[in-house]
Amino acid sequence: MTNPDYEMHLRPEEDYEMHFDDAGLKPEQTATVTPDYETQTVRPDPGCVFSEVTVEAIPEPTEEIDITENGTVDVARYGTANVAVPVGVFPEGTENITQNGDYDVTMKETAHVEVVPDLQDKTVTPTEQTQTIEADAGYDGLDTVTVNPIPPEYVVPTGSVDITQNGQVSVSGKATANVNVPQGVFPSGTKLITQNVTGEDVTNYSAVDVAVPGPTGTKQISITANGTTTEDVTDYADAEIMVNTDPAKGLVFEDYDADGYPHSARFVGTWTTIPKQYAYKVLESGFSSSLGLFNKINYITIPDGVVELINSCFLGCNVIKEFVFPNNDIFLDVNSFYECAVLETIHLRKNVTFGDSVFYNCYSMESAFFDGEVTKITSGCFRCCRSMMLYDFSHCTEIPPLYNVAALGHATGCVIRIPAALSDTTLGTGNGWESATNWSALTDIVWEVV
Amino acid sequence: MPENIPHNPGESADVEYPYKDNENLIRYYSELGYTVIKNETGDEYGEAIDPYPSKYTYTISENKIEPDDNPIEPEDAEAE
Repeated sequence: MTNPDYEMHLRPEEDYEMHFDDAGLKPEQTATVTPDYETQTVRPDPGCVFSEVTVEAIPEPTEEIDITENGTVDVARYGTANVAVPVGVFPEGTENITQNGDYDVTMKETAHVEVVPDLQDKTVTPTEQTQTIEADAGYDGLDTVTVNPIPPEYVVPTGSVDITQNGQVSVSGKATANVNVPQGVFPSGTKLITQNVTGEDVTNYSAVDVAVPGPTGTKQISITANGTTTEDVTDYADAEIMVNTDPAKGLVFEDYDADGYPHSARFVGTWTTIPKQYAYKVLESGFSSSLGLFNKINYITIPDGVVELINSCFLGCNVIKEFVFPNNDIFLDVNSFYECAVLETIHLRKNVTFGDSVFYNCYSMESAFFDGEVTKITSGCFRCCRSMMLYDFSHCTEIPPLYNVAALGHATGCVIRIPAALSDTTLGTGNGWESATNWSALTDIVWEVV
Repeated sequence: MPENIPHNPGESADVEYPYKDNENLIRYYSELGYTVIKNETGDEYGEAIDPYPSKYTYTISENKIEPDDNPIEPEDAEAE
């Protein structure tokens, strides 16, 4: 601290000297000075002299200094140093690494990496197969691979072969082939053939386009006499078979050209009489697809007089879209139309009695018309007929029992057409067709009363 | 289908009511897999679903339902 009224020069101790005027009598004063880090000047009052100046001892430093990081700090002026440097662990030393791998070098100041791979030397002898040479397990890789000379059992191609004409030429053992085929006339263009022919010269053509028109139209075949008849339907796409009802006769389709499709129908005595009813029935498997006979026939007329189609009669005939049923009562035995997959509609013209599963798996069937009575919808009768949209029972005079719900396959929204005389409206709620056993459980159909 | 349970033809059919949560329908069937006979008409069914209350009664028959004849729902059949 400096008093402006005093003037005092603090110099090295040997320079301290006070001068007074002893000649006169001037008032004397004393002064006390406390040393500071700054120069202080002390002067007596005007007309006065110092009799004594006391310079106090250098005071003890009392200020404090906060130190928060390492380094050199001037603390001469401070009495207290508050050191608060964050304490940590400092890496030191060197980690010597000689192999690949994961190492923790957190506490190391430096890492000396000097990895020397362990390499392998190998030798291989050429063979007829491509060989892939790799280092064995435990090695980091290959250093040198020595490939031996081709073994003496293998012939090294040498020399050349001259080829002067097209064809297959052996070049085995030759290193080069000299091809020198004289130029000539090359086939070009396309030969169009529109009819069956043999011996057609196509020498100068590079391609042949065969477009022979196929058969068209329908050949109607009607057989009325006993015996064997062969109908040639070569030029027709389809054959419409009109089966007669003469006893002791049947039919067999013939694939005389073995192209997989029937083109003629030969009638033989395979119809048998049902004595009690004086009518006919188709022999078991007579129409079965296992004979491969119906690939080109889309519909079949079952002649009048046939009163029974026996077990599995048309099972799996999956190219026939329509059967024309006879104009008489008929019994369709078990599985008689099972899985006729493209059958679209049936029209029973008289009373019908079903065996089980008659139309089971007829996926494509969309409509069924019954002009007569239906004795019963049997187990599996129309099961899985998932495309069915119309059952027309409008000619029935009695409600056919329905074996179970699943026996009547149908699509959602399928129409069941019934006569007004058998409806709930006429007979009273609970007494009509809509309320009959199992019919009442069909919730996704539409009743149509006519 | 339960096994080792004695089958007694002529017993009343088993009953499920309401049928599929529909209180307007009742189902008659055989837990042991036999057909049921409608007593009033003699008609034979794999199962019989009638409006509730039903005016018919059913008796379990001696005829086993063939495996393929099990009364399944239409949607199940369509899935086949």
